[in-house]
Amino acid sequence: MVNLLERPAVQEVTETPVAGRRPVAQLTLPTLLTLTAIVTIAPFAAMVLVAFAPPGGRTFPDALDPTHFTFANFSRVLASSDIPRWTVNSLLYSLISVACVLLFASMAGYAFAKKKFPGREIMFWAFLATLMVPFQATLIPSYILVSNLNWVDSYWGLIVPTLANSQAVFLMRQFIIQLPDELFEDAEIDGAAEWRIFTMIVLPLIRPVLATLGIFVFLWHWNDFLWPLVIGQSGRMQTLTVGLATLQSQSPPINQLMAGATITVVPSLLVFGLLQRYLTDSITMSGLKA
Amino acid sequence: MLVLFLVFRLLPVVGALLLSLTDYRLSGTWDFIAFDNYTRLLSDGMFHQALLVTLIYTVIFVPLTVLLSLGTAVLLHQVVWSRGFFRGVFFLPYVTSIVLAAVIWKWIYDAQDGLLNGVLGLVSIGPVDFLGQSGSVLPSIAVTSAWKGFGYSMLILLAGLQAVPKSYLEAAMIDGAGTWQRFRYITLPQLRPVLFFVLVIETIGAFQVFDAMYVMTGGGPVRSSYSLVYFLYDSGFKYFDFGYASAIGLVLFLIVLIVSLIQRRLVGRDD
Amino acid sequence: MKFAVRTTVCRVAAPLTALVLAAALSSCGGGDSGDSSNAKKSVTLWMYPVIADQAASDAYWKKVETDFEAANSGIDLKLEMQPWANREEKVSAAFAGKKGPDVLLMIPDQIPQYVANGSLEPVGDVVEPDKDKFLPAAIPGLSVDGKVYGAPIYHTVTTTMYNKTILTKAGITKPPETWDEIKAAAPKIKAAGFSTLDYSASPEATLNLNFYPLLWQAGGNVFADDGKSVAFNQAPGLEALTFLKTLWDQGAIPKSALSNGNVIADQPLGKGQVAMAFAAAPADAGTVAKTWGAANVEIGTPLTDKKQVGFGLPGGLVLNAASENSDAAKKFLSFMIQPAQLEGLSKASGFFTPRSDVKVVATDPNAAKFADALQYAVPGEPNPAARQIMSFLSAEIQAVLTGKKQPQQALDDAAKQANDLLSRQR
Repeated sequence: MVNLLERPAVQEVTETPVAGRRPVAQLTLPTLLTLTAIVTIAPFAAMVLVAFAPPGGRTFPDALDPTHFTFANFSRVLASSDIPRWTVNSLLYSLISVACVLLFASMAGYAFAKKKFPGREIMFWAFLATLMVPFQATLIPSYILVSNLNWVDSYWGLIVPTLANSQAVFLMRQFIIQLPDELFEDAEIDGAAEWRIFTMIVLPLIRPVLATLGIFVFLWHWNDFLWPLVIGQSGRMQTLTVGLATLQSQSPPINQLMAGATITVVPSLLVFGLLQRYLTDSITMSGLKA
Repeated sequence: MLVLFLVFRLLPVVGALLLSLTDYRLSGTWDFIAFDNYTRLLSDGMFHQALLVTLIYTVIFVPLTVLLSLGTAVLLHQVVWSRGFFRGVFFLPYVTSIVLAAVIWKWIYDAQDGLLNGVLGLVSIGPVDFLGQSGSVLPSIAVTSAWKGFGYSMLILLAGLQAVPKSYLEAAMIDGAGTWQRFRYITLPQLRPVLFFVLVIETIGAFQVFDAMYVMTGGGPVRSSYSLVYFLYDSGFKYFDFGYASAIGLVLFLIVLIVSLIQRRLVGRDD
Repeated sequence: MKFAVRTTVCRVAAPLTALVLAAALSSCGGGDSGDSSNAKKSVTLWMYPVIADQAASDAYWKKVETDFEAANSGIDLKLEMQPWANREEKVSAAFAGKKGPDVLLMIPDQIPQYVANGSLEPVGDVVEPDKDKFLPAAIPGLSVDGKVYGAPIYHTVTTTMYNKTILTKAGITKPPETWDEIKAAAPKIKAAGFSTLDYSASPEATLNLNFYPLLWQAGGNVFADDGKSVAFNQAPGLEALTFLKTLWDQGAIPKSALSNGNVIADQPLGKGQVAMAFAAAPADAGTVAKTWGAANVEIGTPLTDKKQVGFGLPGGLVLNAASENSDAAKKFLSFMIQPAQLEGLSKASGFFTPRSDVKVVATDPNAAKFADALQYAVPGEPNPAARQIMSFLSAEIQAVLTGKKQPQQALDDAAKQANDLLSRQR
């Protein structure tokens, strides 16, 4: 392992130097990227196109004929008057979760990464262990638990159980572990309080990861179908995913499915677009006393 | 956090454990039957089949996804000006739900007029029944899941790549190390904790595969895409044998735990 | 250093615990979904999108609610529309947590298992007064061990459906009505470039809509009379499976059948590549009319081999055994099965009504033919182990179609698994 001989005091630059790369590499890179992009985007594009196809089960390849595009599928799906309510529920569910999970997970991740305390490894693996049991097995026990707390069909029951996100904790730990120990030792020598270390040192350094995690947590909750379905009994508690499903007959034609999907995808893309710029932030290491 | 975790994560798992030792009926009545569920499980041919399917699937899926995400992360890391755009594109599949991804890909794989067979037809191959043959069904589903999920690991690996201190790489370059050597001796080791995360998460995901198979093949043909979680789902929600289903869940957990511990030995040693 | 963690953890844990406890206590105080002892009793109903058009659905159920509450001033009816998707998880979780609705919609497939779990309350007294006004299969279809658990509100029916364009192209003048006629027509249809018979062989496709009707048409049964063993591996079962295999080998069944789960819309049948289906429902006729053209859809009578049988089942409202308002709920059930409500439901949903004294005026010619087929409808053979046995059989059928096993072997293997299971049933 290379030893940390000097503390980097300068803002890190993220681009790798262009000089020294062979000309061939400069061609293959964009080509490779574009090819992968096309393969990735093709099925997705198909989904959106099919959503615009005229209703009545016309499928590939007729479906992709732009002259027949129509909004009919969307109006059918959007016909419900409960959509604002569902959207509000989904937003509450997703946004509150993002805020809480980011906070809790980073704190817990920090504790697991940098603090030594008895039973740390075991506790960490207990967190991991809960990820390994498939949720279909814990669905009924979870529901019974929530039901005994009388939280069924309420925001409490919907949101609180999902705040304990082991995967987020795991992710945070892995990133925080990389931060050099010297940073923390210095801060303690300086007499900084626990909370300050956390907010002034850890948080800024893991900003890109926080942004990444934020996007994921939002997505996981926005797209979640099973838990809101099982917890929400009445119409007013349904989220967008569940609500849209109540508008579908037992085997909806593919156009309607895709229209509903396109609608739910739009906010996710918006969130991703907004948070994108935080992902490019370089990791800044503030100047440290030698 | 701890309270939340204990109450809402650990408790249901313990609940599932207890369930697996009983023969719980929906109405709430149950008899304690100790390990009967487990002994039945071990001699159940369906369990062996599901286990085999899941293992094969995992072996195909995990390398595929990890390499794909690592590859795209590395590619993206090199690029600056169009990074945002490409990153967005690669992330698109992740934004869809797995059910929809499965529906789209099922249509792509369709034996008669799917997109893939259409393309193959242009070079006079096929038509190939991707989802209808036991030899090709698992790789096909693996590709679908990889397509859907690689954006997640890619973003995380990308963040990890950005955390590699440039000073190390510069120092190595000054010392005359080539691109591959820099990657192998500096980047990869620095990436280790993150790589461990990706490996474990993708492995867990592979072992828990269900939705894609449910939508695309129904577990067929002849159970060649019948995963352990599918078996669990049927036992619990189709046949209402919740005790048995919980037992399956716990066996699955044990297997994944062992695999993760092995991975930890190989990759996860944190410095 | 060690105390630092405790401080952080404590700092978080303490307020959090307080929060959780406070929340738990506060919600314990207030009641949820009206089960308090006010003058108004409430009955919660879970309904599914049986009426496809959302506007029509809203209108119909609103009227039901208004009419019912007008006639029963002390009862508040709450209707909660549920999605079809993942309904098993939702319903079983609700029953497990004792938080389910008072009344909900169920079909014969689901009822035996919930009854075996003690989740449902018999409703014999609700249907008793009008018992003989229902179709012969309606009430038995919703009964287990002689006790009635569901109040029928609709009845489905399936029968044959033909694509006239394909038949004409293949030079077939009379739509095949028996197995022999199908076998004779298959080569001609294949020569014209189409498949003959639609079939769904995915393990998720209920056998009630594919293999079982063939079994019944061959004169066989799934279960033996006492329900303690299976009978599908006897001669009629073999005949049915061999029929299927022969057609498959000839290419008369679309190859994508292996992953088709009884879906019409974007599958070969809907796309006009298959000549006929033998278990089509009225909704399916509507779906294919859009792609084939309404004039090309022909509805026939159920297929005949040794018997003429089609599948058709009643859908009924069941009563939660844990309901605290079962009297009020039963009043609602009685209300729902009255001719006025059922007629409205039938008109709006396109399903048939289970009452023989309700005549719904047919709006299109196909409806009359479907109505004709009602007399041949069999509601399936309910049994708590039915679904599990279906999945054994389904996998074996796939093995036969893909050439991995011979029909008799496959049937026997499935029968062995099924009998094992049945012997373990309590």
